[in-house]
Amino acid sequence: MKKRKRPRLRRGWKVVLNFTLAAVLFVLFWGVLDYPLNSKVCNFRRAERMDWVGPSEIQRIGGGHFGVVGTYLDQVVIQTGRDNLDYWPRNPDSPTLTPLDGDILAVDVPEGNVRAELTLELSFYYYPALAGPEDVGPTYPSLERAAQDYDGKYRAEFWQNTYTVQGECLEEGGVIFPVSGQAGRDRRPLHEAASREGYLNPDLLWAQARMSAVFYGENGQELGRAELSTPEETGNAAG
Amino acid sequence: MDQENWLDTAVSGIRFGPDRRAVREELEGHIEDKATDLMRIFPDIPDGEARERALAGMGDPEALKISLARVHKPWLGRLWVLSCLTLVPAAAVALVMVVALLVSLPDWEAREVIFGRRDTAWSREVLNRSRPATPDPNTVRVDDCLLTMERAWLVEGDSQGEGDTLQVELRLLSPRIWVEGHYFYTRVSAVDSLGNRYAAEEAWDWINRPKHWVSGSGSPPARSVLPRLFTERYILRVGGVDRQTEWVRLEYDWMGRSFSMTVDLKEAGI
Repeated sequence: MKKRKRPRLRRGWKVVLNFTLAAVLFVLFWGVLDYPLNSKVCNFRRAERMDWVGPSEIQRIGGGHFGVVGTYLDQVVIQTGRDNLDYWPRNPDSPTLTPLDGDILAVDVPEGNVRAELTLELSFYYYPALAGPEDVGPTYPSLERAAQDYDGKYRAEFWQNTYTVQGECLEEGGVIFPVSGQAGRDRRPLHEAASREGYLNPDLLWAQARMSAVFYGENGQELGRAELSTPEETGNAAG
Repeated sequence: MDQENWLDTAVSGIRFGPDRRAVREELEGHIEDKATDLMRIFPDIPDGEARERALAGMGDPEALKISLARVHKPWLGRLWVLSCLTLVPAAAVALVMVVALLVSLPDWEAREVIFGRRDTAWSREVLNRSRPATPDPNTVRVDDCLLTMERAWLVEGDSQGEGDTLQVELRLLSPRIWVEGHYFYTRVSAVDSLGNRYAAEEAWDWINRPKHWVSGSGSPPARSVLPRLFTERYILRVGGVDRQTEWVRLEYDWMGRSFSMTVDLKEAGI
């Protein structure tokens, strides 16, 4: 019996087949990597769509792989990972100060703003006996909370400091205040004052903070103000 | 013109190297065949003359060069090489993915057990306590996504006062290859015909679980090695359902998106 010859694909079809297969495999591989896109904004938009949010108005494109911040309806939308978004309540009628793990970002800044200044009052209780030369040791927002940990064993003292931080106006519209760069021995509580956890959950609060940002126009006139305090002082998450 | 020169001239119009070499070999074979035939027909003919005659019978190399150049387009050959070079690393990555998938299969099976599709003592026991409920027949649209309730069943509570648990399987269809709205299930709350409100998963934790609660999970089998493409399935559990409940409505309302879907429990009647 004569052996039948297998039909051979023409080269053009082979090229089409090869590229199609490669494309399918590429998409699968891209999917395994969770579909990374080519820019921070694209990744932020994808994270938004995955969370059924937005599109937000972008206020900051941060350093690192992620860190885009936007505003949408009554929330500030903060990207904390490729697909992870965090939310912070947005003030309806004034700029909102948003803690960003060591920095404070002001969003919805008044138009015409050229300079901004943040005044931050930080206070806490600490135990000098447990403090080191570079760190104040454990800190507490109140004497009662301090007493819960070392009742009677050590003597707690009050620490208070006021910082003035100049804002950096961002191209995207927000103003960033690099708060944690100001600190000395109180670096850790100051960093926590610029982190969201303590504002959203008072159990994670290790210091009291009250901050106020003032936004100035070209001629030095005041354009607006924004305030934020830790919950125990105002009773609200965001001031 | 000797054989080598004839061959070089004939194939010199082919610009794609691998094709040029292949055609040259093929032509050389033809000449050899012709010369062998001549020597078989005329046994006294010397080898050199047989080759010369065979070469003469092949025609004008310049004319052949033009026709061969027309047939063998260089771009197609280069494209073919490029496609092979693209496919080889892609195939290598695919192979790694297949191996990783095989390694992750035990995890996949564990997830199937959780969804009660595997025949285990636990799943049989859960199924014995389950009755199918009537899922919402309507498909809801959120952004570009379509959400469909595929199945619903009521699982009888296994301890006093805990209430029954409604389990709902939802399918989300997304227009993009990554699944949009992937985390919606943490914000789904519920209300029932008795007026009970069920807290969404993001509003409670397992240590302080309320009496009426909603919890959910995606169903990403072996997610680390297989991407989600266009569709995703979710299981939502609504806990603390009273026996007299006639229906449970799932509700989502966050950032300007909202939908609701109702499960009819009258059929389930545990």
